[in-house]
Amino acid sequence: MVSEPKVVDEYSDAEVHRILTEDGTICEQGIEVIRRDGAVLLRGQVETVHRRDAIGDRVAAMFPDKHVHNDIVVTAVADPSEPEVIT
Amino acid sequence: MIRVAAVGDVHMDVDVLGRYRPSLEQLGERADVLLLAGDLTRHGTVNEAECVSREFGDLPVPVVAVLGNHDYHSDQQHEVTKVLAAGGITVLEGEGITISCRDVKFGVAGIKGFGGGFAGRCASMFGEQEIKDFVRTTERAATRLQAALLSLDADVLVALTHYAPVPDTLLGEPLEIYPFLGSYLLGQAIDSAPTALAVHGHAHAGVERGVTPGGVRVRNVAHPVIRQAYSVYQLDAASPARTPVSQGAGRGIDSLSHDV
Ligand SMILES: [Fe+2]
Ligand SMILES: [Fe+2]
Repeated sequence: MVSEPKVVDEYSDAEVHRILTEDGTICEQGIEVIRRDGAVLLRGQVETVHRRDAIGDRVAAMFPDKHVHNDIVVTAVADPSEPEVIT
Repeated sequence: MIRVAAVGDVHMDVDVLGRYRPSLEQLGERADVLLLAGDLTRHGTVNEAECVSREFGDLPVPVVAVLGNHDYHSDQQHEVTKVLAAGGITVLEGEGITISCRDVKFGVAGIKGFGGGFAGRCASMFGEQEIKDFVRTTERAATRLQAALLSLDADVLVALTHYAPVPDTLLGEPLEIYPFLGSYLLGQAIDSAPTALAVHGHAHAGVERGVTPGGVRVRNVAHPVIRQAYSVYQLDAASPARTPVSQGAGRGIDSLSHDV
């Protein structure tokens, strides 16, 4: 009898990264996915709240038995600071 | 004196529409030109390009852009370029333009660029065809950037790329992906001309400030790096021009192969 294939974290990490980039509804390359004590922590920056939540939902669907902490932040679009003088 | 506003990696889609507009309202008082350093869209679609055009079009200063890797994702880079141009945004891919501003001739040469890595840790023209194609793509981009920079008669010369010309501004990115973030060949091209400033994007986790081996200041303006709508750099035409750096020993960009 063939045993269930063992899930190797490193391969599933690689897959998560590729899905976040290649999934047309996400398309983010710079999201860090960190596993800690049975939880998954997401870090990075995106342009909108909608994009942050979409990533959180997508990763939660990939790890149904783990808690996902979504620490992704939405990049500020504040007025620029003083100009930098380049001499 | 010229004030250059710049931002990259705005990754526009309908959900971003209007985010930049409040800060762009005062752009005319703060800057003389706006540079967009690529990755203007998420997937490089015409719809997203129309969002870029709405957000960054119709501004009181000239807007000059290069595309990024995301803008090539749907193989519609030509259509994307057309949409941006129709919105009044000048898209450079191996070309340069000059803009006259209060007696200062401002020149900008732009190209998306490509990866390949940095001195001592870079891909070489060796082995499989796929590797040679990768390296040749970067070499061609560097050659065209150099030609564009040298073709411009300007008081202040700026190089605009998406990929990074130096590793300095990649600090914070994993070392393993540096070869996908930029190439020293772009830096060499920038150093071969009297460039005053090099602006790039692409490295979302990098840092803003770097310098080429030849002493040209480099600024990574990827939006997640600058964390504001745009940054403004003030350049003085009166400051002594930096002496262009020769290619040094070994192969210079002049001697790179151009065979197609
Ligand atoms: Fe980007
Ligand atoms: Fe990019």
